[in-house]
Amino acid sequence: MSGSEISQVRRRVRRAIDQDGLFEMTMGVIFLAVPLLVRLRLQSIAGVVAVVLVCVVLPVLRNRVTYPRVGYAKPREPAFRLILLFALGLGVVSLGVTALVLLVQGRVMSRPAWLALMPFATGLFIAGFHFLWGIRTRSLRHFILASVAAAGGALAVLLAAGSLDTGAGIFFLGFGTLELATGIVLLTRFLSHYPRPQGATDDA
Amino acid sequence: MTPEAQNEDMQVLAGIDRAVHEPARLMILAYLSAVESADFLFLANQTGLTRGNLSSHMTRLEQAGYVSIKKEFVDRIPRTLLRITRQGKAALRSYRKNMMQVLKELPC
Repeated sequence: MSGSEISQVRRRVRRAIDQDGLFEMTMGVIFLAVPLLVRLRLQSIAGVVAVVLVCVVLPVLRNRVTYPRVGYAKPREPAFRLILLFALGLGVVSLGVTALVLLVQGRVMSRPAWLALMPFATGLFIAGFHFLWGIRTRSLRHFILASVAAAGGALAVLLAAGSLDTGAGIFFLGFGTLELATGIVLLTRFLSHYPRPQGATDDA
Repeated sequence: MTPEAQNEDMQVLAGIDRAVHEPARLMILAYLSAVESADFLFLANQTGLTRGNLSSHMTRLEQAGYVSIKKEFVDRIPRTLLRITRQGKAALRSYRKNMMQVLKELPC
């Protein structure tokens, strides 16, 4: 079996698990929770909420919803160190592009200008992850979400007119709603396409 | 190529691993080589094999030592996890090499 054929099989495995929309729903809930937690002055627990949702709630939902319908497969994923390096690299690139924009505007040394552009940098960061996942699954929706995240960050900056809170609020509410809606549509389609099998599914 | 050399290449066919050569088993090994582990239902869905067929091929591959089978319970539901062994990976590599050698020399 050639390398490209193995890549195709790996892509099919990732797509089989990725079609349930649960990841988009989880990310949507996290993005919608961010402005709410900031409003309640509980922003310090935003990271904990995100980790609990991704590492605990998502696997439980997949065990109950996805795997009984399409089966379970654990794709060969790169080491955690590589994922961390990718995230760091993406952070550097996002901040680099933001710095470039500020440099063109001649405001690179201004802290308020940096803060005002943070939704733009966040949009680029999220776009990078969706783009990577789009490449790994060859799913058009990830490329669309990546484009919307990048454009949404810039639009939020323009609409907020210099306010970090307003810009971040617009971005997280807007993009969170989109992710959640995408997830709900995918999950609905998934559930109608793959009804839960009756009786035993394990004959081995 | 001399007829003797061609004959040597065709001799490789006699040594082809029949546990791997069967199309359904080759498909199962191909899927397992691309993942860390997969369960019975996933393989049945992806390969299109019936449960009985898949079960018998799995047994054959397990007997050959190419696949390891582990049973576990998740939320009180039984799950049979399959994983390709090191021996299975080596068999797949060797099968590929042998078939490439034979097919390369076949007249079209």
